[in-house]
Order: sequence, then C-alpha cells, then structure tokens
Amino acid sequence: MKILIVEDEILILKSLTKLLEKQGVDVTATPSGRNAIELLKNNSFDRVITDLMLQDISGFDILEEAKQYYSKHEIEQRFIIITAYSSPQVLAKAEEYRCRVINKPFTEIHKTIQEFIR
Amino acid sequence: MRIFKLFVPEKFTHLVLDVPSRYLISKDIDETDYIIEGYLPDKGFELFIKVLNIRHYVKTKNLFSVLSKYSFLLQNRSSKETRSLYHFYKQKNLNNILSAIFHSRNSFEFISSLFKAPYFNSFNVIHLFIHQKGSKQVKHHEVQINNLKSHDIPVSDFNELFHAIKKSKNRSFGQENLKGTSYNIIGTCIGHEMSLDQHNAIIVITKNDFLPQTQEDIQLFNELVPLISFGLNYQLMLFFYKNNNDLANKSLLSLSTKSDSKNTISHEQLSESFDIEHKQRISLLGELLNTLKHELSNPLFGMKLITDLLLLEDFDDENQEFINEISSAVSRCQKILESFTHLYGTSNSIVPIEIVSFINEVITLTKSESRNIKKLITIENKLPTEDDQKITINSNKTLLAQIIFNIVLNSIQAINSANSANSEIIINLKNKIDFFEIHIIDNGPGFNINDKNDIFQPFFTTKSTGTGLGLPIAKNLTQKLGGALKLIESSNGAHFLIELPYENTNC
Repeated sequence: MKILIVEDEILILKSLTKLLEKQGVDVTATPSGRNAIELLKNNSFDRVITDLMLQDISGFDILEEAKQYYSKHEIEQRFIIITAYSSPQVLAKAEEYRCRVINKPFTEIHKTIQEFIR
Repeated sequence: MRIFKLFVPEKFTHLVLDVPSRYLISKDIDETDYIIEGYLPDKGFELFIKVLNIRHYVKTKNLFSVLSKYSFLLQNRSSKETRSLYHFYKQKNLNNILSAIFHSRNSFEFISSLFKAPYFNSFNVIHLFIHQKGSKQVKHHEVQINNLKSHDIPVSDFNELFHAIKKSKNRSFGQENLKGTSYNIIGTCIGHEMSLDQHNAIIVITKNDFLPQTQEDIQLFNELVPLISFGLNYQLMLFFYKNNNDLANKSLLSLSTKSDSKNTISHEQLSESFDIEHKQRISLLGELLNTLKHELSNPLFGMKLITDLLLLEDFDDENQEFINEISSAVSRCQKILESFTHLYGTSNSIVPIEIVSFINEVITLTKSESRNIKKLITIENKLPTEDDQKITINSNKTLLAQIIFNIVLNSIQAINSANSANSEIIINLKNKIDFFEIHIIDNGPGFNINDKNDIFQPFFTTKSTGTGLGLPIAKNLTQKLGGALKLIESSNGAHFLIELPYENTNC
C-alpha cells in the first residue's frame, strides 16, 4: 500500500510516517502542499492523508487538484482530511468531496488510521 | 531632543510629559481621566497628538510608544540612512497616515484617507474587515478612492482569512486562496491581521491585477501596519467611547469623586462597570485561548503521537517510566487546554449543562493551587432513575464556570492561608422545587463575624493579595443568571449557596 501524508507540523508528519511504516506501508511524506500536488501528478497513491491549513496552500487545493487524477469515488475512498479547525464551513466543504475529516487532537487516531488503510 | 507641546485643559494643572523617556508621566492627575491635545512642530512635518483617555480604553502608553517610534524616524532625518529614497518615501507615507489618524472623524474616513498616502494611492482597493469581539457578524468594507461598499459576512469566513494571512508567506497571497468565501477579492493581494482592544481586523490591499507584489511593496506595507493598526484602534475606541459615554462617565464620576466627597458608590453603578470590564476580560480571554489552543494543540498532538509510538517499543524500566510520564503529561496539557476553551470559548447562550462533569472541569482549572485539598461532589434528592453524570441544568457555561471558579478559589485561598491539615471542599448539589442548589462548603478558617456583611462588597478583602472582586463578581453573575448567591451560617469554615433557576430565560 502506498500512502501520501501532507502535514506541516513536522512532529505529526514524522510520527504518522513512523506509525504507518511500522505496519509495512510505503509512506511518502511532505510538509508542502505544492510538493504534494507534484507528487500526485507523478505517482498513484492508495491513500492520501492531508492537513487543511498548510504553510503554502490549503488542503482543499490538493483535493481540487486530485480531481484530475482520481474519480469522485476514489477521492471519497482514498482521501482523509485532518484538521484543527473543523468549523461547519469546513465540514460542508469536505462534504462536497465526500471526504472523511478527523479533528486534531484526535484521540482515536490509531483506530481511525487502521480503518482507513484497511 | 524634541518636546511635544501640549495644550492641557485648564482643570488639569500638574502635568509632566517627558518624551525622550518615551512615557507619559503625569502627577496629581487621576491617571484614568484626562484629555490632552498637543502638536509637535517640526520642519516640514507637523504631528498632531490628541489623547482622549477614558480609563484604560485608549492606552496612552501605547500611543506614546507608537509615536516615539515614528518620531525617532523624524528626528534622524539628516542621517545617511534616512536620506535614502526608500526612507524618504516611507516618512512621507507615515506622515500622511498620522495626519489621517488625527484628522478623521471615524474609522471609514480614516481608511478612505489612507489613499492620500502615495503608497496606498498605487493600489486600487482597500478591503477592511472589522470584527467586534463577541459579535456574530463581521463588517466588510470595500474602499476605493471615491467609493465605499459595506456588508456583513459570517465570522467563520473572517476567521479563515485571518488564519490564511497568518500562514501566508510574507502576508502576500492570491484570490485562489480565498475560494468559496462570501466576499470578493480580486488579484494578488497583501494583507495583515490586526488584534485591537475590542476588535480583530484585517486589512487587505490589491491592485486588482495578478502580478506578484514586489518585495518593496510588501516590506513597506508591513512597516506601515503598526501605525494603521494603532489608528484604527484609536478611531474604533473613540466611537466605542462615544456610544458608552453615559455609562463610562457615570462610573468614572463615581470612582473619581471618592476622595473629595464622602459620597458612597452605589452598588448599581459599580456593577455596571463590572459588567463592561467582565465582558471585556472574557472576550479577551476567549480570543487568547483560541490562539493558544490552535498554536499549542498541533505540537502537543505530535508529542502525543510520538510518545504513544515509543511506548510500543521495548525500553528498560526507567526509560519506560519516563516515556509514560511524558505521555500522561501531554494528555493532561491537552485536557487543560480543552477545558479552558470549553469554558471560556462559548458564546452567551443558555445550554444544557451536565453539572457533575462541568464542575469537575472547573475544578481542574484550580488544580495547581489546590493540590492538597480534597474535593468532593455529593448529590441529594436525585430521582432514583437519574444517573449522577446525567443531571443537567440549563444555564450559561461561561458565567456559571466563573461563579463556581471564584467561590472555589476563595475557599482554596482561605484554606491555604490557614495552613490547616485535612482540608476539604465539599460541593453538594440539591434538586429543590424552585431552584437547583449548589452548596460549596469548606472547612477553612471561615469568616470573621464582623466581616460577614461586607464580603459581597466590592474591594472588600482580608487577603494581602486579594482584589476584593471575586465574590462580588460571583454574586453579580449569579443574579444575571436569574439566581442568587448566599452565605449560609456555619460553625465551621465557609458555606456558600448558589441558587439557579432550572429554566433560564434571563440571559
């Protein structure tokens, strides 16, 4: 399984990477949204975990870009948003992509991620 | 050395203003109540200072630190550095903005007159978003040289922009970052967020084109923002003051006449001024906590993940223990952060509160001071079917938290000052027919019999570091919730009773 993680908080990025690598997942990690868009262009990922508030662009920009390479159904299945700001507006926007959203700090992260990569 | 010439109204006589020391020193004048108008003549530059200081609403110290920062620039005009074109240009702009601040009658006029500064004149539109803290709507003003459009937008859109700007590189970003929002910004823009006394604001400027902003544009913008922020705050606070003129005057009067006449201050007047201060403090606190939460929760979350991950590995016992400690400390930090924002972040609304877990949350906040004190929550008269955790009352979380917090803190401080062993605070909940009762009982030193009548009087305190405001505020807030706060006769320690109506309609 090939996973892309986009998260600008380095501690979270590194620990999520480690957590998933331990389970034998092939992880590509980047703190940069633009970099993530490049990666999406040139690779095919089974799962994508992205933060919303990145330093350069928004996680929604990544989802928008992903539409070029993934079908609606694939985006629903393969993408998950992690965010500290789950305002109703954010949730509504995520609903457009039919994407899952987890809040930071999410207590049941391990479980959620397990379900997500299964 | 420059001297600010001051015109001081007649009734104020002894005023010393020392500009090089960068602070206003006033003697024999009630610091909370003065008006100063003055100007600084300087070759080619004229600087107007107008201070209308109503209590702490407009912070004089801020004004002078801002002004001295800029007057420093004016003073050094002859030095090499300031002779450069950039600095000349910057000074010209600063001067224009200063003049805009003190010649404008309100915040719109101020923003419109920014176009008189050559820098802003090169832009097409100034977008100004103003959010009065605690309000549900944000004003969006779209200002062009001869045109002003205003409308309301939701706070969530404002917050998104606020964070987008904070996160943007060099405060420069394009309209593509603002998709799906209720306002329309065209082209690439420069923006800056501003945290003011009573408002949060955002200024965004754009030339309505898609060319990237130059480094010079961005640099100068960032250098001008503190002065704009000061000016905007000044205008908004003047407006705020005008609207609250009667109220502010009344409380000022009642406080300042204290010394020359023997008039006592009526409780009503004081509680009015409490209300303003309390609202201000709460909204400021909410704002602060939100920032704190957002800034801290990410790294905390990362730490939590890493430690959990480490716990899966094999370490010797000692290291294992350390990692356990870190993990639980991080969880505790997250929990404290949660309870704080939970209690202070919410609005004015009346909501169902699960009272037992709510009180536990409030007590968590007093932990550092009350580590050695046993705290017990007991429940009387509950229905046989009722689960302890499920007892709910309808009230305002922020206010109720403050009430309980103040009373519990009062008990804790009394107990700690008495240094007694086996100290405890019992919180007893009773379902009565008319009211829901919360009894807060401690076994501390209690109250001196002579003081019993005075404990709810503002500024009455027996503690060397006390403010004398904790209990009066608690009483005032209980009344706002349609309830009452009473001191119950007790032979041992202090016993407070909070009566709360079941259905709260007062707030």
